[in-house]
Amino acid sequence: MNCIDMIKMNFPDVKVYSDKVETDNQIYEILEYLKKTYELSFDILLTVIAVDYTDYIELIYPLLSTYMNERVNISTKVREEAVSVTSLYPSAYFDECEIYDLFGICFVGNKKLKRLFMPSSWIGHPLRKNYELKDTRLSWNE
Amino acid sequence: MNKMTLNLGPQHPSTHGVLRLILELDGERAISCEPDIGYLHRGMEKIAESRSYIQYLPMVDRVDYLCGFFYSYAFCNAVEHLNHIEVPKYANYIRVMMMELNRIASHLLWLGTYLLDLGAISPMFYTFRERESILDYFEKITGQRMMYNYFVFGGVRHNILYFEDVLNIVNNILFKINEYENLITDNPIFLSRTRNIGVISKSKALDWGLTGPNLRASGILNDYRMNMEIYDDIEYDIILGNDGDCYSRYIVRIYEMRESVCIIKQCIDWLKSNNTFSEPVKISLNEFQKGEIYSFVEAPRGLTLCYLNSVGESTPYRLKWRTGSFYSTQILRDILRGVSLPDIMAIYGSLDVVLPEVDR
Repeated sequence: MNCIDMIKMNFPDVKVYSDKVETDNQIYEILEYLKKTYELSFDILLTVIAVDYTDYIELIYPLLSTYMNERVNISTKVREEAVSVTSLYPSAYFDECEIYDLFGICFVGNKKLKRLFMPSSWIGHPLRKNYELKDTRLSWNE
Repeated sequence: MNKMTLNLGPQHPSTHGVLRLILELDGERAISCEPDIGYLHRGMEKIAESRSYIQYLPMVDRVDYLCGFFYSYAFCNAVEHLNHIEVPKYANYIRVMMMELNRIASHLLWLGTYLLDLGAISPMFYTFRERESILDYFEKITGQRMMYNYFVFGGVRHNILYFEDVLNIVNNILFKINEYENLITDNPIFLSRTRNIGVISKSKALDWGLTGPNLRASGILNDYRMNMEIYDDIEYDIILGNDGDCYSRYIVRIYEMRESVCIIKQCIDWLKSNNTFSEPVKISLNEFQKGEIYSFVEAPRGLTLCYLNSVGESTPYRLKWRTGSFYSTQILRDILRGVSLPDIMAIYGSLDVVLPEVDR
């Protein structure tokens, strides 16, 4: 039984696509299941990818199991807020800060969210599709 | 308890770039560390959204200037998979050979600068001498020493010649690696600075998302080259450390250079006997397929992911880089607790962080 089948058996609400498994609001539960089930043990969260589709933002969690040498991508759609997974995977902390910085998504449960790349006084979230490219602010040092 | 906050960086010589570590110290011991990054943020992912694929190709080398070939490969591979472009086997072998030469160059630079951080000045000159021979070769082939722009969609830009040069370079390096080992590996000062310093346990390494040599030094078998098609016919060993300290990270990198030499020799053997270079196919820029591609490559600093999302336009809809150094920087928040001040740079240096890769 491969991991996709196991996810489907335990979480019947998920939608399975060719290269990802989509869930509505069970992202934390699925990641917890994938990490803590011994036969799967997806122990590395490689990164968190955010894609802005203008009316919603998709978060993709690519996971790697060093034990099985397998990968799986879990995705979810969010608007303003998402669930933080730092308690499961501490490495998500910088990723969540990055998405908070560049996409403006708040991660509930991550207490130390900060702007990672942009200065803390920056207005707007650069990787959003509605971000104005021709910004009149020349330099943030002024 | 007298707490003191110390700003290490952004212009600290040992950070090899611009990294600021906000350290909280109790005497000589660090209580906490908060890395502050973003000084080199160039918006590589945003730039991709306003450039066509061909226009973005030269930018890719600049994500990490020490191992440009790996990033070129990740991006080209993503575009090729998206558009179902077949890459000739000959071009794949050239790619593997160039990437492994690049890995040696990158590890050599790490070796020199790491020992410089620890106070040993001379290894820097030796390693740069050998690295120079590789860069000279790259210059001969691609015209550039660091920003190569040599891999293109569907193959490589032009054929490589001068196989004898490569053989001379790698044989010389193999010989010189032994020389470095004589100097460094059993050196008591080096041992006392690195043995049992900055130990990263298996679970910690996995939790903080370490990949590449740093993860293998902790004793976890994970090398994405195992899953990459272009490495299928090539035999090599995966080097594992067992202690997870600075010393095993050094050992893993030293042996990895030897393995790279072994891979390069196999590539040259194959290339010499099957000299069938064909020009890369011309692809139409207006007919890009829709889809999402995850393109992985095992770079010298860890697993690199190029996520490409296309909606059929001439520019990527979204492009995301996952780089190894980003996570090697993050682990400093955890492993620097309780470490004395002189060891901080020994630990940070052993993780082989390159800042442009962190900030992208």
